[in-house]
Amino acid sequence: MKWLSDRTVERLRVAAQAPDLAGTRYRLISHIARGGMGAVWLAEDTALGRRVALKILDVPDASGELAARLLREARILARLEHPGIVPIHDVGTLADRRVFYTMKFVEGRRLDQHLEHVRSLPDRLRLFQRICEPVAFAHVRGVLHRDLKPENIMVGPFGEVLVMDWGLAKILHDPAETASAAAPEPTPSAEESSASTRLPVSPVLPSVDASQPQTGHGVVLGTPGYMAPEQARGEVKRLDERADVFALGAILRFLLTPDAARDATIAPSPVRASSESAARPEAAGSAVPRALAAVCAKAMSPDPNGRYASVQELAADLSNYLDGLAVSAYPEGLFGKLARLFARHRTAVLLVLGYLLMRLLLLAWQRR
Amino acid sequence: MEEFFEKEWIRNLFSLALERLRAECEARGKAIHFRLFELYDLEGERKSRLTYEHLAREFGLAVTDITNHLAFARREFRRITLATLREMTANEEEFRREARTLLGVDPE
Repeated sequence: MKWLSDRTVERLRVAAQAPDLAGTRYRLISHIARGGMGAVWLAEDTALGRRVALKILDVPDASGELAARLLREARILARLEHPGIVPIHDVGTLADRRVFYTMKFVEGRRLDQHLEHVRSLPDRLRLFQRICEPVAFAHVRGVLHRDLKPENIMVGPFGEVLVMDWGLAKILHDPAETASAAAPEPTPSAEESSASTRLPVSPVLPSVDASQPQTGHGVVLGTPGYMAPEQARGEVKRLDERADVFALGAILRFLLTPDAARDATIAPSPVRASSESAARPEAAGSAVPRALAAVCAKAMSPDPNGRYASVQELAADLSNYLDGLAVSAYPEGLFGKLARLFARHRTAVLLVLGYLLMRLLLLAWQRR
Repeated sequence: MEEFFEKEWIRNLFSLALERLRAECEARGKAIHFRLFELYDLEGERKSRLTYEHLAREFGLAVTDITNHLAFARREFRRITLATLREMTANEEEFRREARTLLGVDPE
């Protein structure tokens, strides 16, 4: 019997887990990643001749709850058409009854991997603003992400930012679309149930109401360090846009002080995540400007009422910072205001000061 | 130590399953299916350069044949792995637990 290397064993494991796409228009290329409930594969859409990312359930799901969640994620994505949200192409079930969906294949890096290529503070802040845009859009469409973190943000080769993994998303409102999403679906026939591997993809999908939160009250879903305290306590019904504002604050902290932010995410405690000191980047002894540290702290306030009311407000404060204007999170004194005005109008101030100095020198010389 | 034994156990299981797949493919006149599986799914070093089109040219087949042959080999490998796993486990419960750990889904 041939001895297999660790690498070969891993490849065999991947091959054994590979979805059987026979009968579909997709051709399997390779494994991309594995998440909490599903695996993502690179596949080719043979009808359109393009590469797609195919997400499929790959954990036991006897109750069908996870399949419903995956399908719900697909339907949420379908209603969020935004350049910063990866578009979904197709949804279906395989011959083995597993639900899958295909989406645009994004070639890029995760935010945590991309960060080393973005050195300057203004560039990092502009990157952050681009992350805020799709999240703000989703909120307007009544969708909370609930799992925003650097690993779920992709940065494409042209600097485009995509917010990924909407598997934990929660629908807040939108009654008009609720009605259509809740439309009953037909059930599979006995013939389809005993489908051979060569059967075409079944159009039958589990009935899922995309508008209904799949998470029960008291259930904690999210990532420590990026979860708002109310989310970490499982207070699902209390969650609103400000839970995502908290996560964005944590991402901002990560952009400002990556090492300190990584340390802060190690302890999976809601108390740790909610503490003011953990939220403040300067607590790590970094040279983060106070105004930015205040923005971060406000976004990550343990009390939702202490946070920005919306992502737009958070993004506006950052725009103000980048434009050299005052930020709402940081009440500055007279000296601070002067220093900021000087920094913003440095050239003009230096020219005026130079002019005044020249006049003084001229005056002094004339008096002699 | 437990992790080491687990790893070796999986290595042994896959080695057996791979040998059985080879034998079965040869017996059924599908040696080419196994060869494609070896080339595309196992020989990772070459995989970044290898495409279905490359294989189709190399073996003088249509790309759809490559797709179908690979799908067949993966499906058979999975089936044989589960059959081998069943032989190596003491009872149904253990079999299902190991199958879940190894392949991610409940065996049918």
